[in-house]
Amino acid sequence: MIQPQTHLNVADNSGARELMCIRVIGASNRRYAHIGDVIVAVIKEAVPNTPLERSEVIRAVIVRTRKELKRDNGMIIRYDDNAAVVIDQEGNPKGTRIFGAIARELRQLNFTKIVSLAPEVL
Amino acid sequence: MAVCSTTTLSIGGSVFSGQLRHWEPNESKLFQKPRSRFRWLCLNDLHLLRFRTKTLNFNPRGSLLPSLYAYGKEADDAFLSKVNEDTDEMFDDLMKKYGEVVFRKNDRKSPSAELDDDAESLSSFLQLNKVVPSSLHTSWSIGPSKVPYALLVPKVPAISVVAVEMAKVASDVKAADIRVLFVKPLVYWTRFFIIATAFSRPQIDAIGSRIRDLAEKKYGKVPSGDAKPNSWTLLDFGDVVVHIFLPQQRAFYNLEEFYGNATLIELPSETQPPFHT
Repeated sequence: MIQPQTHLNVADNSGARELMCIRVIGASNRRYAHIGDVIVAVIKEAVPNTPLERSEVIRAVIVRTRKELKRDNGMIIRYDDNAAVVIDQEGNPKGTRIFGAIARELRQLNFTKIVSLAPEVL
Repeated sequence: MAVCSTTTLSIGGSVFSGQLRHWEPNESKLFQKPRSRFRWLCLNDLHLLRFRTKTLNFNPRGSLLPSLYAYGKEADDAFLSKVNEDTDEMFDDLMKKYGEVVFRKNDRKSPSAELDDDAESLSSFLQLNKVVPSSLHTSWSIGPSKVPYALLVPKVPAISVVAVEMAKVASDVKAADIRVLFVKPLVYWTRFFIIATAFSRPQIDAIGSRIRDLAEKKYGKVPSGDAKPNSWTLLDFGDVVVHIFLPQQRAFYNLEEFYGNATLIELPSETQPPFHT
């Protein structure tokens, strides 16, 4: 359940370290974003000497949430952190590798690029 | 013919106990009691069932389902002869009614592995539709003499053939540095990666649409992924995932290095020298 003002970790090597959600993309009055949703975020903290800088506005895909994800078969997945992957306007990830485990729902939501860069898919 | 049977199977031993309700207007002599208890030995029959289900490309999955096929002590011979006569009809009716036959195996797989098997058999079935002449389909029957064609065709090459064919199509449109990787041992969610470089967006578009056409016409598969040409265009066919990069993006993402442990599949066109006139 990511909403504006939520701080998220960055799960890739794009150079950003921490994001703050400022908008959930979708319906006009959408409150929360879950795994696989695109948000607009601002970079709160960045690694020095990388293309991304602090206070830059970017788009990101949520890949992990503390709010549990339910599957049809009854499986429930809950991560320890909220994390997102920075993408560009075309949907390509800005980093080249993803860190940590991600959910397979991302593939169904057409983020197969992120899935193919991830080390582990749950 | 109307047949109702409710059967409880305890597979693992050779003896099954079942409760069978069987009603046939013509064979009322055999089945006068609408409900009777049978004990039946059917190791052989189970094999037959397995055999037949495989030929029909059903996937043995799940735990327990009603059995198709049971006979009692008193009706042994008559029923068997009847079975031989119109087994196919009976099977078809029962299959319509109860769906696939399921039996428990000792080597139960994880759901994801089963999913893979489904995809595999689906794709090999797609292949079969193209390859097998119709006479072979009709001549299938139960018995060791006629081996079903589906069992003869190795399954994994069926998809690798598709992957290699897609790679060939890409090379027809002058895609460079085409790699076909067998990534199944590394990731569960797909089998083959095709990585190719194109030098402009129109070329990416051309490669993508050619591969899409091939998959749709020949195998009836529609990809998910990028609809428009992108600097990294991805076509997801399920078992085959096609990545088309611009040279810069290919070097940036460096997917081959990330999947360095995957087996590289040789392309026939690469081994042969190009034909010049």
